[in-house]
Amino acid sequence: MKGFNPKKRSLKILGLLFLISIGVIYLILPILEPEPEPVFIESFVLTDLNGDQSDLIEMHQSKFLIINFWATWCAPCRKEMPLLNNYHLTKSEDYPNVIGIAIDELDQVNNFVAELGIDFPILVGQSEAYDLMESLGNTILTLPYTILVNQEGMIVWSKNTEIKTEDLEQILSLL
Amino acid sequence: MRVSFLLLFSFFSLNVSTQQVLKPQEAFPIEVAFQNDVLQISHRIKDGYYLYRDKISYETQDTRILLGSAKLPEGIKYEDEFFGKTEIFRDDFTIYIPISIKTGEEIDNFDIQINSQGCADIGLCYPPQQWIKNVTSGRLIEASINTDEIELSDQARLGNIITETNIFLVSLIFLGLGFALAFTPCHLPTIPILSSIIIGQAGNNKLKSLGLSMSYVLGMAITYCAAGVAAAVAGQQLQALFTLPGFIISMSALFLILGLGMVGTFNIQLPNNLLNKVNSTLSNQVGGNYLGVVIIGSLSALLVTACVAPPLVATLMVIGQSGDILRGIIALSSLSLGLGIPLIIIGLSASRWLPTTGEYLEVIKSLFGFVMFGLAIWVINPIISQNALITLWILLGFVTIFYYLGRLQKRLMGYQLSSLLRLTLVGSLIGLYAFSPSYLSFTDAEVEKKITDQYFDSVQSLTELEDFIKVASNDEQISLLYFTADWCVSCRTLEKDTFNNQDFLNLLGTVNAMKADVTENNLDDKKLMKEFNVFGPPTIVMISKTGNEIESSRKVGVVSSNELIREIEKLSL
Repeated sequence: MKGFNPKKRSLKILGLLFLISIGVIYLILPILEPEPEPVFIESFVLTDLNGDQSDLIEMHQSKFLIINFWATWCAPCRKEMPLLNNYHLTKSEDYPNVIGIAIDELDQVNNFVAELGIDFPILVGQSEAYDLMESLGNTILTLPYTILVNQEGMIVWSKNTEIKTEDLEQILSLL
Repeated sequence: MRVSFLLLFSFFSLNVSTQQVLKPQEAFPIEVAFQNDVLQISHRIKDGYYLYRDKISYETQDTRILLGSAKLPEGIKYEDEFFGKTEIFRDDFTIYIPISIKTGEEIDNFDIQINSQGCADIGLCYPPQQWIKNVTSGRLIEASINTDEIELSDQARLGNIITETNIFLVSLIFLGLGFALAFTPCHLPTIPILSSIIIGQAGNNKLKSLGLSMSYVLGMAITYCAAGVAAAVAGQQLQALFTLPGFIISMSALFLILGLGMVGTFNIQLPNNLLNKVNSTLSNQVGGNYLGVVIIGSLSALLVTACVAPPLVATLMVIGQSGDILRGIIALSSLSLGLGIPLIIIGLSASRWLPTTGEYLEVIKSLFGFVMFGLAIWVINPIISQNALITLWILLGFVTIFYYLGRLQKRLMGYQLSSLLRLTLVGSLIGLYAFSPSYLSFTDAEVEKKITDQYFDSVQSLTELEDFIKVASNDEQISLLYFTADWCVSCRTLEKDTFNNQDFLNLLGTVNAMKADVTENNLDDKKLMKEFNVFGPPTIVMISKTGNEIESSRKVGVVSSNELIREIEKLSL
């Protein structure tokens, strides 16, 4: 107990400083970080399967829309194709439309579409399609990448791995 | 209220499907090295990720050089439902490519392009990647895979967390990381260090032990933040400082002094010694206590950098490269806070389990003194031989028993009994050293050396090698040339595990086994390595009875005894 009292004050100050520093760190942290901005699709011209120009924003038509990025060399993209195509063929009128954006050579995409019998609209792009995908939230540029945009064109749902039946159910629950 | 709840819910459902994935450079990190005209490319692949074998290729735009053919190892074969028969790689692999220089001049710097394409099991693929790597030949390094690289990619990932995640999350992640790291073996020494400080100074004073723990944690935080600032100023390679012999010896000496103080047997009088000053600030000087503990805390932080290394280096890298000092400091403070949580809990609870005064306190105090001695040995471990290390541990064990026998003597045993026990102890220690020196000097290193010295002929130069091969060819023997070096850790593993096999050694007697020690890396060594396009040790080159190298039989890195036996038997036929 020798020398306890004189030190009590400095000890209290130290403890207080310690707590204050924790408090200050946690108080300033949220201020420094802005909320994530909502992302909207914008006018973006790609080629369709006939080689004609087509604008993404025109295909949106201010309705809910599912956009699926894929490539022919990507196994998980191939796997989800039948599911998306089946959805496209059997969906009711008011459910969102699907469009695919293939980041690949036009010839290969055409072969692939014929082989698998894909009925929903497909747009084709090269490196500019990667830029589009990046601007729509997939910064690591992996495939497949699927987003749901609402009437305003804002992304309300996204997935960067293979689409499963549950995902489509989840999308429909968001409408 | 309900609306905000719904908003919160919709916020989560918005993000729930996006999986955290590694960037391609983190999922498939590539390391290249170049020496002796051989290019070593190490591909690393994270768990849950894979590369397609047929999509891997190498090229260079540099017209001065010509890439030799790259032999890819066999991958995992599987039948893809879309692509048919495919081979993939899930594990790390290393490729060696001989480089021929067209102009004939020395080239120590060029670019190589590595093409690859991979996917992840969670159901995604990366687009085909073209990596441009600059290759420089530097200090002689080991062949094959170096396990340190895995940590590097951890650092890269943490680096991304710091720069790209919400700053609140950054601090939470590093706080959690610090808390988790506090329980890793290399961080555990801080617990006895702090406990002994508390027991030595605070006794059962609750407030004081809390204050001491906080000072200690503050000291650690100061070190980490100072390291961060230093990194911003000086750049990288700060870690190297913590492995300097001078630092290790100082830390070991500090623990020794602390231990001596706790055991209380010796009084050290070294007035001008800095360490002694630290020690005296520690002992009961009015007002100096907390400052002393802050210093000890900051020193201990340096000590345990080994296990804190990945997050620390990540943070330091971020600060150094992006100049984002604020984020770095926040990450580092959070890390130290996390590391400090268990220590503060100890400080709070210390008064509960610590004895108040008397004999028992003295015993506990001295026990921590011996723990300090143990730490002193543990710290110095990297710079002393295995042999000396074992001797130190045995000595510490004996001294500890000797000391406590002396204490027991006062209380429980008669003088004669305890004297007898002590004499027996000293006798057995002397006996151990005098009559079975082989036991104490037994180290793996010496066994390895014996084996390689006994079974391998040492070759120094190309001409010497040719003479040996000529003799072997006359005897219709195959030759085997083992490249090794003193600093090569994989070579020790190879010698200890692979060569130390009776079947292999028997077989070795029937062939012309040679070794080339390239530790010095002199002109002769370089010529030898260049002759066989050897990237670095450990490499085992097989030479046929006619004196030509059988390239397909070459072994790089650590291989199994059976593999070597198989290869030698095949060639000897």
